[in-house]
Amino acid sequence: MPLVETEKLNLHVRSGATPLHILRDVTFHIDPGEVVAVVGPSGSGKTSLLMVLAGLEQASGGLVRIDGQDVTALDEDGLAIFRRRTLGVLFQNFHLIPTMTALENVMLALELSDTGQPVDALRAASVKALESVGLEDRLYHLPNALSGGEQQRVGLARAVVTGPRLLLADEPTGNLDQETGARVIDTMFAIAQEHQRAVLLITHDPALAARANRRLVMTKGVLHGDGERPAA
Amino acid sequence: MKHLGDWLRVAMLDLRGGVGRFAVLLACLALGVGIIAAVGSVGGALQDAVAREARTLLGGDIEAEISYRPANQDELKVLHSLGKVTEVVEISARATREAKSSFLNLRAVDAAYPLVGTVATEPQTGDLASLLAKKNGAFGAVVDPRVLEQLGIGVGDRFRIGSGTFFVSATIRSLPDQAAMGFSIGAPVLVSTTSLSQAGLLVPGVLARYRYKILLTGAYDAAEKAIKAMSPDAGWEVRAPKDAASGLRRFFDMFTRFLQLVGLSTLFVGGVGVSNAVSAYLGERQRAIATMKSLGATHARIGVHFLAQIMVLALIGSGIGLVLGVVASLVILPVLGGLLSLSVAPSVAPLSLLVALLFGLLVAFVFALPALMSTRYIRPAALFRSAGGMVVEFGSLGREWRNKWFGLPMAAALLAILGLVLAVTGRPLLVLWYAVGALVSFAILRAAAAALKRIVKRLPPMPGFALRQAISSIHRPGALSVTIVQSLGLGLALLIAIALVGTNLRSQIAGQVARDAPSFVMFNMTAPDLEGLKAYVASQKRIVSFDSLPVARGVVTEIGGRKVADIKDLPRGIARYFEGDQVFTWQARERGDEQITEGKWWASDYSGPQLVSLGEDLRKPLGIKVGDSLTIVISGRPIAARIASFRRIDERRPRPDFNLVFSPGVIQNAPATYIATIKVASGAETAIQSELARQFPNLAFVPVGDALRRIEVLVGQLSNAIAAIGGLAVVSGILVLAGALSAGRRQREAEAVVMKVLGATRRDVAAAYLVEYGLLGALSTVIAAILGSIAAWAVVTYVLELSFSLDLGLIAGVLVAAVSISIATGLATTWSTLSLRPAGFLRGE
Repeated sequence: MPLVETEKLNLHVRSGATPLHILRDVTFHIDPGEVVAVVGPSGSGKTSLLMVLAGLEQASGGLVRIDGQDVTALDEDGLAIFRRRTLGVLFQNFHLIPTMTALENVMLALELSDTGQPVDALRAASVKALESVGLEDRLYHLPNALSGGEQQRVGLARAVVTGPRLLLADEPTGNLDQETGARVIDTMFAIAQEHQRAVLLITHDPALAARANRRLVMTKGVLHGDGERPAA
Repeated sequence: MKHLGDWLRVAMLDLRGGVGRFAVLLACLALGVGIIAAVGSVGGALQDAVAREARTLLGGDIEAEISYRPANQDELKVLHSLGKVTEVVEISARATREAKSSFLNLRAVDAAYPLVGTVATEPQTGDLASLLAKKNGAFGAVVDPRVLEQLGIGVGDRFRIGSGTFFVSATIRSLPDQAAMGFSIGAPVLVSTTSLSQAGLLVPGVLARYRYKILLTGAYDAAEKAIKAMSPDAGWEVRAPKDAASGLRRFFDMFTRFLQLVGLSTLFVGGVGVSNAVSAYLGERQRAIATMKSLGATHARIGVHFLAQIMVLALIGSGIGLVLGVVASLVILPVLGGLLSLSVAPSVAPLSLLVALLFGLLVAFVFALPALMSTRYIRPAALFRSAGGMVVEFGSLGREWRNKWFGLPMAAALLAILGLVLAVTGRPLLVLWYAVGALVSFAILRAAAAALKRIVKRLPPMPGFALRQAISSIHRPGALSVTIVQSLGLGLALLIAIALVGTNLRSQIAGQVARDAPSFVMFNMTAPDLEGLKAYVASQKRIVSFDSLPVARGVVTEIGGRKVADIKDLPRGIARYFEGDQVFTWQARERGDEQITEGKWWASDYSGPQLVSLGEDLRKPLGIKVGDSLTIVISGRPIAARIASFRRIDERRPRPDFNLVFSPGVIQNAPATYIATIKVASGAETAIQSELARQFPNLAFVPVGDALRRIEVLVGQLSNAIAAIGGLAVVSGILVLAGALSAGRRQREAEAVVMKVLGATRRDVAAAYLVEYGLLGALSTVIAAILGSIAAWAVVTYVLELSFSLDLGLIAGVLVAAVSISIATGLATTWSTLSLRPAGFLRGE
């Protein structure tokens, strides 16, 4: 049974008098443990697809089922609870809270995930997550004291610390140089593989897309398949 | 410097169209400046009105007053030679109607009254003489509306004063000299001089004040000399128009100065808002500043650029404040004029407005400068590093003081503020205490907020996401804790201090004083009156205690071997004891609660040379000691006495006390009246009052409960008026709070979006905000309560010399209100973060 399943997914927005079709009948699936890359030119609807999957954008029509849950049927609070239990999200712009240390940023995700664990356990898990991305000596640094690559690795630790079944990554290397980006991606792939997590990766980078099990191409809101590879 | 013009032009271009975003800065300055301008204008206009109306308030060009007796034929001849004269006789009396009675400040006037101004009555029928004329066997009386209420009668109805019958011909709307009379317990009533003798009130020995008001035909000085020369030792008091309302003028002056300090405090609270607004503005412009620096702009160039913008905004804010102040004073003045029976023309005091404007500009400068200095720490390199907002902190204050761009201008501005406060209040000691109080309050609030940040940082993890997030928000870098505690705390401290002083005053009147006070005070009693009263008291089981004292008057002419006329430069409070008549008493036994500070009381059977016990307050200013001599002239006869002791006179004790208490002896021959106090069993006041009024129609007595209630209402109104203006400091604090939260809203939105992406519900976010704002509001109130209580304790204990009690109910009320306001303001300004759609925000990034 696929982990992610969409069927005739549509997203329209009005731009002045004309409706703008951002996603058109998008139907695809992701299996557990599979890494899928979505490539396509800017403005093709890649980020919108990610937003709809994360429940951050309301689809205009169609179905999104993740881990057996019809995401389109959830209200705002239901979506929030769904995200904390099922998803991890990694952004191009990191979106760390600038007034929180690296450790606090990571811990925030655990604090929201209703694990029922004591704070010390949450702290220990967050430290472990940061260690896993090689930031054990940056625990108490504020984001503006970290380099771009370090900030993205904090973002990655935050995205995976709750053990989500699906990791959504939007241009995770877009703001990083090639070498730093490669290091972040290596870490992300290693973590995904180790824990059998599915990943949907939005990227412009053909080399990065080539490392996925499957590559999908988005053009003007329409998703095309591009062959399949064995699961990671 | 040659480029300064260009720099300023660019600064103004840069500000163009952006003034609206400084709403909080403008509002904070406008509020503080508005209060100072309005208080200054209103105070100035009232002072002007008192000065302008001085002749009306006195009722002539000069007034000569003597007690107990009218002017004799020789004296009247002198008085009439000076100009047109009117005689006003003032006496305390009681009006009665069946079982009801009313305590009066009775004024008997002749046909010439008033020489200046008019008596306004309701209904307006005929002139005063016809209103006071005898009709159908009763004299007309123009009465205060209170009398109608207390006697349960209306215009046209009859009532009695002493043994005379009167009818109400009209009620008083205003008297020309009403404002100068100040607060009086008795209700004013005008009757004709002829009626007074028929009412049987002018019994020898009863205190009646005879005031002769004159419209002079010659110079004032010559008239004063002539009056003083006509009977040098008779105790004539002479007053000029400037003296008429000196008490009123002093009250206005004190009240104005005090309220201006309250206004300045509001401005200081607003200063925190200025500082926040400037910090937020510079925070948003950091990239622009970094860009300017990378293009070669010097620190001075950037400093001038932003300082010019801030000062233009300060000018706009202060200007709005001036307009508000002018409008407020134009609205308030006619109302106050009506209440005070003063003819106050709507006017604007340019000097007060200038002072308010200068305060606004200086406070804006002082609070903006530290934030402006932070631009020095913005590095062009930051342009290439920070992905989110840059957090730039001001350097340490100690280091900054050594910087010529900071230390010198800041010191000059602070000195200018102190100088202005000194000019406004005219009291160096008050300025010193105010400056210390303001600085200490700022420092304590700042230190307390910093301590809170440190403490909560070390706290063990709290249960629950909301509490943990709230605590984390309090100590995180860029947290608003200091701002919130400082802005809200300062305003609340001021409000709590004012409210506590008010409640202490009121509780003193309604509490201890009311419990210990007698039920009735009788005065102006003759010896037969006293005997009759004693007989009545002996027959009444409901009367718990009774006490009486003789009261006589004389002129002190010599003290400590020096003629009183030669003693100069006495403090105002002491000098008044030697102007005209001085009341005194004599008693054999020392009263139980007497506090002798030096010397000792005479034996109860003492019969030697005349001794006197003096109030402690007289000792130092006069440089006198036990054993010194004192001469008092009574009815033209000098009596020499020796000082036996000094006593502390505690005006809070609810019993009559005198600065001069003689031993029994020759002094007992002085013409005297008696004062008596009666305390009745609880609940018997009304019945005893009715019986007293019926059995002793000529007796002047005050039900103390009524008098205390009137005083309590007056004190309540005054403290409410001050608290209302003090409350504006809290409004300013709320503005600052709202401004600070609005400035940080972008950051809050970013945080809320990230939390939502991570799975936080709206409830989670709202709960975290709720706890955070509630905690900060509670902390602000707790510190404010401590500061405000200390200030109130100091005022109550050392200025009012009363015992201080903490009103925990009031503090709890302020705490609940402040926490609610803090939460409401916080949620109102950050509500948008709860309903923000994450997708839109994330794309916007």
